[in-house]
Amino acid sequence: MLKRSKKHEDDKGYADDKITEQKTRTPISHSETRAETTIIGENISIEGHIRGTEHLVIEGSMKGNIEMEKNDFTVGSKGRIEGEINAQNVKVSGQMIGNIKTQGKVEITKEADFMGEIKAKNISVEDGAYFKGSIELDKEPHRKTALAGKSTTVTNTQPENKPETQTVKQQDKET
Amino acid sequence: MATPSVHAPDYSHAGSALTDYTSMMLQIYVETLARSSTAQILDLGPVCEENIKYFAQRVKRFHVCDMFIRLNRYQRKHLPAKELWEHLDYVPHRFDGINLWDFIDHLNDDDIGKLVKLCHTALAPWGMMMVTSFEEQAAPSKTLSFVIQDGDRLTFRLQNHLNLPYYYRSNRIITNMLSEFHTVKSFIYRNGVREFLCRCD
Repeated sequence: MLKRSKKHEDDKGYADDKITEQKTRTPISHSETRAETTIIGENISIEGHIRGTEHLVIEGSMKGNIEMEKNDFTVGSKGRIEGEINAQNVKVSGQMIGNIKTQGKVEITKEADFMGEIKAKNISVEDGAYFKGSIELDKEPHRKTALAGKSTTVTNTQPENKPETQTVKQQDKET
Repeated sequence: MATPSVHAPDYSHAGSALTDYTSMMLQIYVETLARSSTAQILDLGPVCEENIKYFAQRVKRFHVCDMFIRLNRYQRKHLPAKELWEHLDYVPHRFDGINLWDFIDHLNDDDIGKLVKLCHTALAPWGMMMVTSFEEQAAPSKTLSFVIQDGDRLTFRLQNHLNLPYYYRSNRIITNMLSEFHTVKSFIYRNGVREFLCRCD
């Protein structure tokens, strides 16, 4: 069953929503344009691709790719997804096998069981999440420059680091 | 001596001497790996947002396979340990660096042998592995994660969801167990943390 609701400001509350056939249209004001959210309930299974221009929450199971570059996608705590996701922001609280590509942020909560690759601008991962995968973040230009200009040997590091350690064995065989 | 951080985290659940510190091993490791534009690192966990951001900003691709949480699940459900290692099913020579953190402190000798072999296979020639271990008196009663802060400073965070055993081993035993690798440097800190930076020759 599908439910459409207003976009929640903090993206909370999806899990608490009961699955109904109710549809709620959100009036679009001139000052603030909010996309609608579609929720796919936990008793729904989907096989196939989804493309859309509103936010999507999946509490059911889905096999296929999701394409919604301008909107947010959430795998709810009961959701199970196998596929590729391309969305503005992605939040995973359920099970997911597949790759995520976003222009924005990926959020992996502690309930999540994720396996796949993530390409994003930013990421947040809660302690306790099951995670196996790779992360590629947009590099901050200043960070790259700073690293490139850094000295190549540890002996040139700030002196205040040194007194903290007692080297028990030092073999200067590093490359 | 390890200097306390500004925020003075609460380590009362850990060994009495445990304080955050600046990791020399991390500095060498990251400086070496960040020289390559194609470096890939594997982190064995526990999953930690700060560490993910730190490494993902510095290397081409950062991989995470949280073996702490998997070990916890296998032990809790009394599953065969053999299956645990199937999670590290990476192709040979895939990584330039592996972050083991203190995972060996939670494994018996047989499992360390298996882990070391898998890491040796997964590392590229000249690849590096970062290993930490707690001294017996500093060993926390609960599992902690090492959390990277600014300036290569490491703090600790309690992992309440993990309940793992702890095995103490002397420096000599640890280096023997890592004998497939060449130990580049090792450090011991007054807060009871030992660091071993190893390289695959």
